[in-house]
Amino acid sequence: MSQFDDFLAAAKANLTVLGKDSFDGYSDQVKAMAEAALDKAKVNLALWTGQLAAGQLTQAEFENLVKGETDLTEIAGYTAAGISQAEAQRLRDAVTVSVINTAIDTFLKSRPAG
Amino acid sequence: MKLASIARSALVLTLLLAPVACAPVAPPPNPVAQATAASLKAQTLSLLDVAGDPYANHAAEVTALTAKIDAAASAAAADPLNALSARQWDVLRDPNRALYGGTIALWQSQGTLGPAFRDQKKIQIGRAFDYILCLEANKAQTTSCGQPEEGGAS
Repeated sequence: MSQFDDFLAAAKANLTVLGKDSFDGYSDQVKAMAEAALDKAKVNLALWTGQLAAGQLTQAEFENLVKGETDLTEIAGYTAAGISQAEAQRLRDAVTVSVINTAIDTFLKSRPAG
Repeated sequence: MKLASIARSALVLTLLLAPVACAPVAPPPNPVAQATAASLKAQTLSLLDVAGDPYANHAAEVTALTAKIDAAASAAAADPLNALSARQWDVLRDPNRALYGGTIALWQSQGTLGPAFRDQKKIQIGRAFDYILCLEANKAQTTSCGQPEEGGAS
């Protein structure tokens, strides 16, 4: 198995964890952002492989960069999940305010004076 | 009269339940955290600029910046609703991972970091901070963050 296959397998394992275990209900957005990170990683890996072959990167530096892409995938997943969470919060706040306003309108403002 | 009593009871019940319904599931926006993250991003990228020098020459700067990043991580972790941001900071600073913490560990073990690596790592860590900043911005209002910062690796 090539290093890229290893990386891809690790990244997919991360995606599985992010999508199914930690972020139920947000997996589509998580996956979209993480897949974009994976696409980026693929392009980067081609560059870094060339730099490694040319002696511009040490093996440790190359490994650090590849592992860094996997870490970025995870961080991107947390951002995607957090955005969904914040949007859900705002929606819920708006609904709650609306319910309270409706209750006040219904039970107080419509009450006959005296 | 009886109707008014029922109405009052219903209103009281609604208002009593409102705090429960309003219990936040997402953390509130935090402009200080946003500014701190932006500042730490700039400081980290500046530090990487000098990582071609021997680590020992900059050990004090590394210690100072690491302390600031640790403080930001602790601040994020202080709010249980902020778990996602806290996890991001943990990944970023973990010396056994490969972003800020792992890069510092590599600098320390290797002595110096090569120019090609520094260029690429600056882009990578910059993107990590951009994701952190994007999440922070979206706590206040829906904000399109665009593509995270790109550079020579694209």
